[in-house]
Amino acid sequence: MVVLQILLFARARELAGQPTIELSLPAVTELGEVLTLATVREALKAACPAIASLLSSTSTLLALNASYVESESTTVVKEGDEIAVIPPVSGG
Amino acid sequence: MEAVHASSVQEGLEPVQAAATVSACSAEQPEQPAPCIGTLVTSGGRGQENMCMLTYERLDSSAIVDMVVEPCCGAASVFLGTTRNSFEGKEVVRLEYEAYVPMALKELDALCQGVRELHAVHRIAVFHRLGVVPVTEASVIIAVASPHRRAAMDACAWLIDGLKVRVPIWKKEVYADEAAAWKQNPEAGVGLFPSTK
Repeated sequence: MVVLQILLFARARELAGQPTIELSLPAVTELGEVLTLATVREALKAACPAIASLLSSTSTLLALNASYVESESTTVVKEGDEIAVIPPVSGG
Repeated sequence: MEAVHASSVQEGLEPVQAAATVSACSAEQPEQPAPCIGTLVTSGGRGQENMCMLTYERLDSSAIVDMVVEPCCGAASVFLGTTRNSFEGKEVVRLEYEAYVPMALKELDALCQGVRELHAVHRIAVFHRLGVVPVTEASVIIAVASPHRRAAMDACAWLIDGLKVRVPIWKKEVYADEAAAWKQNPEAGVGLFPSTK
C-alpha cells in the first residue's frame, strides 16, 4: 500500500474541515495498473464526499510535489509524494 | 477599518530585515518547511536578482521599490494589488489570504525567471501578503527595474497576469455581515501548459 498525505487548501480545506487527508492506496490495482494521480483523485472523492463535487471540476487541480502536472492519468504516484488539492487560485 | 497597529507598521518597513527574521516562519503555520512565510527567496545573478516573499506583515511599497532600483536603471515599474471595499454591491471588510507556501514561492520564482526571457529587466521583487488584509491595504506588490521604462512596465504586467493564473494563493472575501466567499481569478489555470493548447 502507498500511504499519501493529501494537502487541502482554501475551499477544499474548509469543505473537508481539515487541512490534510491520509489515503492508503494499492501501488498496483487488480488490473495491474500503477497508481496515478487520476486514481488518487477518484479515491479522494470517495474518501471525502465533502470535496467530491469540487474534485469533479476540471478547474480543481492536483499538484504533485509542488508542481502542476500536465496529465493526471499518466502521472505515477509513489510513497512519499506530496499531493495537494489546488482549487482555482485567487492570488493578487 | 481601524488603522494598522504601530507594531506591524514597524515590522513591515524593511522587507530585507524581515527576511532575516527566522522567527516569522513559526508565527502562524509552524509545520511549514523552509522556504517559508517571512523568508526572502532569491535567485539570479548580480543585478538580475529575483526576490520573492510571502509574509503576514503589512507590505511597504517604498521599501520594496528600494530593493530593485540601482544606478544603471532609469525605470522602476510597480504594481500594487489592494483590497477593494465592494463586490457586487456587498460591502467587503477584509480579505483573508492563504497559500501553498513552498509551491507558491517556487511558482513566483519561476515567473521571475520566465519574464527575463521576454523583457530585459534587472531586479525583480514580488511580495504577497497572507492572512488578513484590510480594505485599502496591499495584498501584492511587484516591483521591476530596467534601464528603460518599457521593459519594466511590460514585465510588471506580465508578472501579475502570470501570478493570477498559476500561483497557488487563495483569497476569501469577508463581507460586512460576516458572510464570506472564496474567490477565483477568471484566468486561474488558463494556459498552464501552453504547448498542449
